[in-house]
Amino acid sequence: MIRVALAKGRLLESFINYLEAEQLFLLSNGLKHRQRQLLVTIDGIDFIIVKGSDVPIYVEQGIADIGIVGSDILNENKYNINNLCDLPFGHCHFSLAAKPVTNDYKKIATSYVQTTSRYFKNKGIDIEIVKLSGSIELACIVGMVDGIIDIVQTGTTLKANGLVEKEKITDISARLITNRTQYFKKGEEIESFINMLGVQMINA
Amino acid sequence: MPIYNQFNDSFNDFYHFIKTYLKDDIQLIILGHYQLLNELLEEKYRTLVIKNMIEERNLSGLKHQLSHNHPILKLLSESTRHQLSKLSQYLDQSSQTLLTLKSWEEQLIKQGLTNIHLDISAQPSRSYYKGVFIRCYLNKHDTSILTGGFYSGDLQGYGMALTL
Repeated sequence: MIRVALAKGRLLESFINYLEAEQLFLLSNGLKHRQRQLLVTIDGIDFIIVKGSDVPIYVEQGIADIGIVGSDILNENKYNINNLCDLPFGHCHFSLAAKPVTNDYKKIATSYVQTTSRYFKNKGIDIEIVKLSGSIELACIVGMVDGIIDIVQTGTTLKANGLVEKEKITDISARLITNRTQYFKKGEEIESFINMLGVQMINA
Repeated sequence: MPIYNQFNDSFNDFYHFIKTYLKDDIQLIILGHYQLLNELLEEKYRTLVIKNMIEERNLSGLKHQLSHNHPILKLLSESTRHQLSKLSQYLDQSSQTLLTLKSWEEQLIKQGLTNIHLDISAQPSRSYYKGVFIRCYLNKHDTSILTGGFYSGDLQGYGMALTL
């Protein structure tokens, strides 16, 4: 039996919608109606529901054979995993956002320090990064920082808080990752899972 | 210069120990060679970005970096169990790397060990071993791994170890 670690929240919802679109109703219904269970077995597959940033850790440690996680998480740290392929859901992007009048950046708030650091380094701009865990927009509204770097899906939250996207930084999508050893040991089961999802690794 | 037979003798000793004293057997073997990547990947592609993608088996990333028919993409798209048999399609038949891997495979099959996988992601600068290497996982002892390979430097030879 294989075990799959899923990132809870927005990405899990996106995965469930994808399963429904692929008519994999046994899995989508099982995940939708799991109530508050963090470990659920559906159709012979163990699913564990964890925080996004913990997905690669569960996979790296061999607790999960497969993980489904956003590329935003994988770009923040180096993990000893197979980062196999893009998945056709969970699309969004990183953006630099600020108040409409702001064009000069000295202090930036974000949860994604590495992505932010890389972006400004490439532009040759020296900035101070303030790491926050959530509600990043607030730091800009109250004037703690000049701008924020965060994930944008629809832009509704930015707009509701009087901020605008200044620049799109990079696309984000769901990624399928595997444990390095289990990739050999459970190769056929992992391949079956990928095929069941309708994902062609080379064409993803 | 160490010879293959020395390694084969060591392997046989360890395999005997696994069967007799651990009452276990080898479930899966991973074979690789630290020169393989250099033979499959042209020099212009040996960038840190591409090497990291190969190490992570990042197929959708490699698709944008390499030509669609590149041997690395073709091999990584195959099941690891079938990669060794496909390897000869992409290497010169006189390649020492290919010949070494094939001779090790042949010896293992003679011992009845057929669940052999190829690891093409191994990178020379990142390991103690410099040439061929082997990693064996057991049926019952999850944490016991038999590893070995060819190392060179001030000393050279074949090393092999079993974690207990």
